[in-house]
Amino acid sequence: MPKGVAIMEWNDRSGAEILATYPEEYDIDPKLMMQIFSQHEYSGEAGLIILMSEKINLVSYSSGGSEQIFVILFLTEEEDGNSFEDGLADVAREMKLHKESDDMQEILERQYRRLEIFPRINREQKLALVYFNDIRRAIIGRLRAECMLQKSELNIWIKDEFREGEIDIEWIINSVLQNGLCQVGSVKGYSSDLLFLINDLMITRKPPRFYRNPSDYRCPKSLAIDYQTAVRVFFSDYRPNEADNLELIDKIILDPVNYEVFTLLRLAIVTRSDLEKLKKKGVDDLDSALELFNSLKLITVLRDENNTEYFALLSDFEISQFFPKYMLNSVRQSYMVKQNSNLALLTHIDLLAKEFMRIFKLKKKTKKDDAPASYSDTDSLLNLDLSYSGNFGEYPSSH
Amino acid sequence: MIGATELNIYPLGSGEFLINHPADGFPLGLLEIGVFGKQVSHKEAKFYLQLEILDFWDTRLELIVPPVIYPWNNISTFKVRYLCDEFPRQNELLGSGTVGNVILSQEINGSIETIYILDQTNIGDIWDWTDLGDGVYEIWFDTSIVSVFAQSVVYATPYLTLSFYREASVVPYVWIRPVETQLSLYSTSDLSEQLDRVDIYLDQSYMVYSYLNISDILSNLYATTLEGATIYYEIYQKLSSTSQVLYQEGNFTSYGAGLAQVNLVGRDLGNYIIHLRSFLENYTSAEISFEFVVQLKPIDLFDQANIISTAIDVPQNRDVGFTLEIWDSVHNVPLTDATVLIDLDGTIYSFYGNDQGQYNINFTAETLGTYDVGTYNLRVEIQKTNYTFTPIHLSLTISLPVDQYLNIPYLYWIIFGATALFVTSVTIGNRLVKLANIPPFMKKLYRTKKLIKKGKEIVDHVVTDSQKDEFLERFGQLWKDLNLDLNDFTEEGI
Repeated sequence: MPKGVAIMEWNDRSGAEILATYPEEYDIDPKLMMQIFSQHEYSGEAGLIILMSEKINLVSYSSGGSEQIFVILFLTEEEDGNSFEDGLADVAREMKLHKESDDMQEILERQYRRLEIFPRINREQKLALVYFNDIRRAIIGRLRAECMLQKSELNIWIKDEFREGEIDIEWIINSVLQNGLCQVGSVKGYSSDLLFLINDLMITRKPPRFYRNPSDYRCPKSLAIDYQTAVRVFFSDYRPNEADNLELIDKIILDPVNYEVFTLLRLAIVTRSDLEKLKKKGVDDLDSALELFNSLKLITVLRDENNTEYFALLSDFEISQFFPKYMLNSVRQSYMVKQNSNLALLTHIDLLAKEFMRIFKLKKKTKKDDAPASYSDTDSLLNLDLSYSGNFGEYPSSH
Repeated sequence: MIGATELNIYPLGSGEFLINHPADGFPLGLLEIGVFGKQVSHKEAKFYLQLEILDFWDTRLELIVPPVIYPWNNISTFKVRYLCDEFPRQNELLGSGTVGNVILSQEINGSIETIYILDQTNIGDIWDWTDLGDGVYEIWFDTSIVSVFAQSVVYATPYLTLSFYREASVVPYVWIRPVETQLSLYSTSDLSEQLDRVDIYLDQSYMVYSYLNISDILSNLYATTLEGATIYYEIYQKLSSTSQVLYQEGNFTSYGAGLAQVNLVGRDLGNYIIHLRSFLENYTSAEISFEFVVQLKPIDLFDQANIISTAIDVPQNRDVGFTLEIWDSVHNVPLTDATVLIDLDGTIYSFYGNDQGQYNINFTAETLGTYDVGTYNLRVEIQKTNYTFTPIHLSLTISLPVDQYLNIPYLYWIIFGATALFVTSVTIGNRLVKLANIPPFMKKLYRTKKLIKKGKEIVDHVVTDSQKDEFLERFGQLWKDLNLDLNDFTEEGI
């Protein structure tokens, strides 16, 4: 876990200035600030630098641009600065947007907690990070409708749409590409590279896996029907919506403490004593976490005849990647209305064919029809359905 | 007093007197000398003594180091001792004597005859002597002054003289033998290539060189070249392993510096033994032999078609020809009138020849057609008197008849056709199977691609699942388990 985080900016008169730190009392040597600034200046562009010495291990991200800010993360000796790159870029953008805000300190604290997930980030969280970013979400939205976008056009559109000043479009796209949602290709007749959608995201709440047979997941038989009823009632009113998805991602998926609780609840119906074992995992304030889960309608609390409380997921949450067969319809539509050149459409078809066959072969290999169409083979194996069996006395490692 | 002769008497004092008188004043023979002494007042005294006057003291010559055996032309040396052999000078060593001469003699026809006199006229050149003191004299002479045909005895009698002493001689004998020689043979006059056998072809010739030198290690001529000898040779033709007949004889021609040569000509086939013997006075005769073989003449063969190839492949319906040209390799001329035969699977065929030494034979397709398809051994043989030739063995493969243009066997065409048909069927079958295995969505993608490529109109843009369909497919069952219908949901938020 990183030791702390600081937000720094450069003032032409006074030099390097710290805007905020977390923990608040975190003290930074002015010489070190100058050293960080100098190193960023030397590299000359937005991005990451790592400083390692006997006493210091830190990673700093520069947002670049005219109102450049620096996010400095102080690491333990064992931590690798590179694994925080994506997270730091997000923090930099967030902090830049709220630089003048009164609750900057609070925002920084939340961002800091989010950074904790990066060294051990899993596939679900990676996709959640992509979706949680409004610019990336907007790009994916456009690609769903238009099949492809020119990078140069995208740059202009994002600036108009989001009005955030200078945005590092490469950083934005890079995350989408790395997660296998898009591919870039050069097509004759286009002045810049084209971005093609080859995978899509599916985000929704869904019934918990133990809805059918809750007794098999440590739910007392006497409470099984009550539980099933509660779930059915919730989903009869539930409609997937973006606001709900974003809230769940923000507060649960990308929050390391709450995600630990969520992971346990996904495995079984548990008692309070089971949950208290999560203290070992850093869940210090269990009541606050359960209150949050309850307010988000993620859990229901059942009581048996002995008044023992059982905490069960009211709904699970899924954010996964799927192959967009519908994209063929979009391609044909685009061809009919001559929205894109034939050459670009043929390129898109080739990319879709290649991706479809990759997933097809992967499914054959894993022998699971519903094997997630993740970006890499390794990820796909990590991202298979969670399963747990055995003595629940010891908190299981879910990944 | 001898007769009236009064001897010279010299008083020495103390009553002693010396009587000294020249001996030549006496006659030879035994004399009586009366010596009278008289003194005044004394009674006369007298006595008589006998004195023999000799002409010479007797002497003898002893051989103390005799001569031994010597090769001709070497120096023979011996030592003698000269002594007085008469009382009272018995065995007195006589130094300062003179070797007047040495008579060399030999026994000829039972009597000893003088063959050479070594005297003052030739001293220093071919003989001499040395006074070694104490009556010992060393005498030497050059043995080359005598001629020997075999080991011979020569008596060398020295005569020694000394004043008042009688001349003495002794008869030592010296063994003198001819100088040993050896013959060697070479194929070149610079003696670079020694030979022990000569192989030539009929009508060829070969020059042989002999070299004669001294091999006698006791001779002072050792290892020197011997000139002037006659080299005689005899050629024996070997009729069998045990019998031979004299075929030719003669002398080698001198080539100078110990060399002699003869030109051997291969007139008649056969194996010969040639014996050589050298002749020269005072030298032994050296001998040497070598084998001489006259062989059949070889034939040079020049391939003109298919002869040198060890394996020939010919379709059954094509002609194949063999042409060769043969030459007399000794005289380097084309060889005509030879009989050239080829044996094909036991049947002998003759080549046709011309006056250029060229021979050919052509197996027509008709002839080859009488043979089954397969591989045959061919044997080509050349026959001509006085010539030899090692038959050539070839392999002729008569293969399946081929077509006129591509030279591919008709059978192969049939196999090709059948194979092509099979491959095509398999390919089509595989393709059909592959097509059947292609996921439907991929087929839709390909179809769309094809239409776009051809620029054809696409009537319906919906060919596959919508976004909502995908959502329903993935989560529909979960909602169904809740007795709910996910279909009621919109795409919003998916």
